Amino acid sequence: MSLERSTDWLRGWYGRALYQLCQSWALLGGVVLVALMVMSLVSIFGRKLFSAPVHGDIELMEMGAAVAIAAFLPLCEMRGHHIKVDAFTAWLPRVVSRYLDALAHLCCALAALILTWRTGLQMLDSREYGDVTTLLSVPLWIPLLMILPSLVLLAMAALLRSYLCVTDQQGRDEG
Amino acid sequence: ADTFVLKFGHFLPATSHHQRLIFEPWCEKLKSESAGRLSCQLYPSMQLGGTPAKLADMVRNGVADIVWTAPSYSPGKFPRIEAMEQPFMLPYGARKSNPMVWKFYEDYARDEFTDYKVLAMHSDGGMGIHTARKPVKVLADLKDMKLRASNRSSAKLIEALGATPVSMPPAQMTESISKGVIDGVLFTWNAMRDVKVNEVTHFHTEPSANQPALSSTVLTMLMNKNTFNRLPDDLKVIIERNSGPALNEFIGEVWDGEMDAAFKQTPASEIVQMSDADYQAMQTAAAQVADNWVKEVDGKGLDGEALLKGARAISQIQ
Amino acid sequence: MSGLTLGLSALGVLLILLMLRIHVGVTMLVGGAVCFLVLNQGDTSALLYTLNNLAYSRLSNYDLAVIPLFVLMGQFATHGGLSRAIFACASAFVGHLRGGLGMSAIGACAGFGAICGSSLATSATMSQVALPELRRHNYSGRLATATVAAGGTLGILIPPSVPLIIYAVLTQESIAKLFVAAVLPGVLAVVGYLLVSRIMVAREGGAENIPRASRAERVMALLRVLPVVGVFLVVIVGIYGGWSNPTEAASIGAAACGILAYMQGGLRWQGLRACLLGTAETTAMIFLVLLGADLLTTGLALTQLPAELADWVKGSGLSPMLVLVAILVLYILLGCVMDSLAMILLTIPIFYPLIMGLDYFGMTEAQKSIWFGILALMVVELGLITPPLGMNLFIVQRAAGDVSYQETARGVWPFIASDLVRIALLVMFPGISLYLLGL
Ligand code: NA
Ligand code: NA
Repeated sequence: MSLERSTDWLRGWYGRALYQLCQSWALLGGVVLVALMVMSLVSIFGRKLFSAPVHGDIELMEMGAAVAIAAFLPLCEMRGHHIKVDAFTAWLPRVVSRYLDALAHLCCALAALILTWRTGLQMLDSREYGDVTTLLSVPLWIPLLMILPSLVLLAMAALLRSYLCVTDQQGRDEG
Repeated sequence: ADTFVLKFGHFLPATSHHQRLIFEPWCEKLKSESAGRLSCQLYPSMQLGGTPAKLADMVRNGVADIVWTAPSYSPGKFPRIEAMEQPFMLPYGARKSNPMVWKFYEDYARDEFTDYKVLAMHSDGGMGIHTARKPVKVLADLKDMKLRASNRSSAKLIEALGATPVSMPPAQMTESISKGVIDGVLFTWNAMRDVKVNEVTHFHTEPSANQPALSSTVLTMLMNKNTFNRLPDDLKVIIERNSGPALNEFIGEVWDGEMDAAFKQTPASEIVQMSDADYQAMQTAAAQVADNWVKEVDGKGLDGEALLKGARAISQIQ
Repeated sequence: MSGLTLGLSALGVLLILLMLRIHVGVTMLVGGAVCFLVLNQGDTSALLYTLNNLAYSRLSNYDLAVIPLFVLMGQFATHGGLSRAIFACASAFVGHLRGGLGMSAIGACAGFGAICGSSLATSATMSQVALPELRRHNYSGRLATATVAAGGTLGILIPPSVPLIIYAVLTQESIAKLFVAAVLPGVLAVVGYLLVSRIMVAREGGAENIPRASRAERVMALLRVLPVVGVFLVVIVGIYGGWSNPTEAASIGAAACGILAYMQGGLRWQGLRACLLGTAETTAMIFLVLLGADLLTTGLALTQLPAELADWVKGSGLSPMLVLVAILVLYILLGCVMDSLAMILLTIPIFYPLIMGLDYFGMTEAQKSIWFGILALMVVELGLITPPLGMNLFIVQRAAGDVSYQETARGVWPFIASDLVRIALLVMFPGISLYLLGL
């Protein structure tokens, strides 16, 4: 379920472009995750062998994980793989479940937009009040700002998904 | 008449003595004095969502009506009050130090809390070094030790003393000590038994009497301003009567009682007495922490030197 | 409206949305929002300010950061062909026995489960490795798919385990203790599945054995899985022995599996890319639900539903054992139609305080908390193979290609029976989970 898929079923160029964008964005998040893994290794071996852990390792992990995980969200939506319960709707005619799915993706888009809005406000608030992390004093608005594009991308992917459901071109990925 | 239920959030578990001996009795007092018109609903363990760092935000925005938190859990937000958290600033014991914290708040730090109705501003009674395997008797003992720090100032202090500060959530602290991930903690006697740190540490460093505490955390009980302003006048009076120095004093009583109890429960053989000279050496080593802090707050357009001087004058130790 | 009715109404709204195929994470957000809005009489400010911080504080939780790292570790193990080495080793030792290949598949699932935190990944990779072998040696489609689907659940029964991490975060329990507590029940699960697999082969007949491996072949096979054993030990002993915290142990495990995949499995850029995309997708699935659950848990706490329910049960005079059995039955029923992760996130905040408030065999809170965590893990695991919605069944059946879902679902019943026996044992003998902890 993790292998890459062709994007041929996406008819419009914008669909393919968005799919590629989500995929590249997730890869970037993956690179951040690998970097965190390495940082964690350096920290534990530094601590064990030289009593010198990476300064502020926990904070780095927290900020990095938030940025990486947020970057993963759009790809999963683009592929239509977010968890849902379909045991009750399996018997419905295809056209009905298509419109239900369109509704689901619309809700997801709405949720993503609301989270973008509120996280954006939080970012501004953090800037104004000068929130920083405990040991490294990294301003918190920076990681907050870095998860915003992911949330926007999630909303865009969800809107596209919803449109694809309405126009009956979900492709092989859905469900 | 209208009744008011205040949402009271904090980060400690429902079983902590803070909830049982401070928050619950205080709420009970409001309730009985208002004949049931004013009461609280307690939300321990961050049940209102978010992280401890966000408690101050939560009460400002009205997600909670009252919170109990440490200003320094939200680093950068309340720079002035951090003067009280500089190393060797406050004496041991909450009864002694709470009035100092309150006075400093009134004289120097009011401006940071204009968005809040401040109900209490007190200290954690002072922190000491508690270690699992090796006693800390002189400065050199700290070399290469890994100690858990609870806030920024104590992390910088640990670093200045030659040890390595490690930050971790309180929930992981005890387990990390028992497994040797860290060597010990810089922690207040008051909450030792709540998190069972006393069961895994076997050496508790004590300076001689009348020496200041290594480090302290300022704690505060904050109320949402709108919530307070919306109360009828007679209820406002009840809140006023049970806040400020009066609440500080009540907290101090309970706090020191718990500190004494934890101390008495500790075998005398586990207390590591430090000489004045050795303690002085630590103080010298840590001098840079306050200096750096002054530079840092200067950068924010505040007068760090004046704040530090004010704090020292109020705590009357140096 | 009392807190209890409000909380229950919110849960009702949530269930309806769930049934309409709305994303589980999104429905939980809506359920939580409903609690906020009703309690504040439509005033949105508390809800909005809670949302301000929701995304970042959930995604930046240090304990939860262990999840993407364990997922990455599983991806490396999958793409690096470590599953193949484990299966080869298992069949070198027991493949020649009657029903030996089925047992090898179970053993390989267990071995892979020891380095992978997810059941879906375990059954997906074992479908690639073990399924073709079983079919080639004349195992019926029904038995072969059921064996791999059930074996796949060992992915979470044997630590590391994503559901246990989530339980730990929800209840402020120690991940390390839960992992250790899961070891004996995991072994019990392996024994149960081996027995079932052996019995089913005997009943069906037809399945062939493979020739007995020579001693040299066995030694070679063993040598190839030694690194895997090493990784498992480093992770589990590292966490429990105090070498590292779980997040660091997961980093070590992921790095070690990555290196093994590079050296033994020929993992290169394309493979790394696939690993990262796979990690992204699985992690995203988990965290959207975690985001929603965060708001829902807060909303439910505001309604006081969990506390009131616990008080009500306490006052009702129902026997604690009856309450526990009712909860477990509810879990098993929910597990038939719901995703396991969503189920844990939805119910633990409600049921955990309830169990903690009741008396079981005079256990302490610390003991009950671990024991209930392992019980919850067991029923979650069962949900993966109970039809109609059994994720493992779907994955294995799809991979097989020529076996119908009904066939797979029918084949899995004996394994479900062994699960039920194990759950009953654990209910009656909590020591199975507590023994290794010395609790
Ligand atoms: Na596992
Ligand atoms: Na199921």
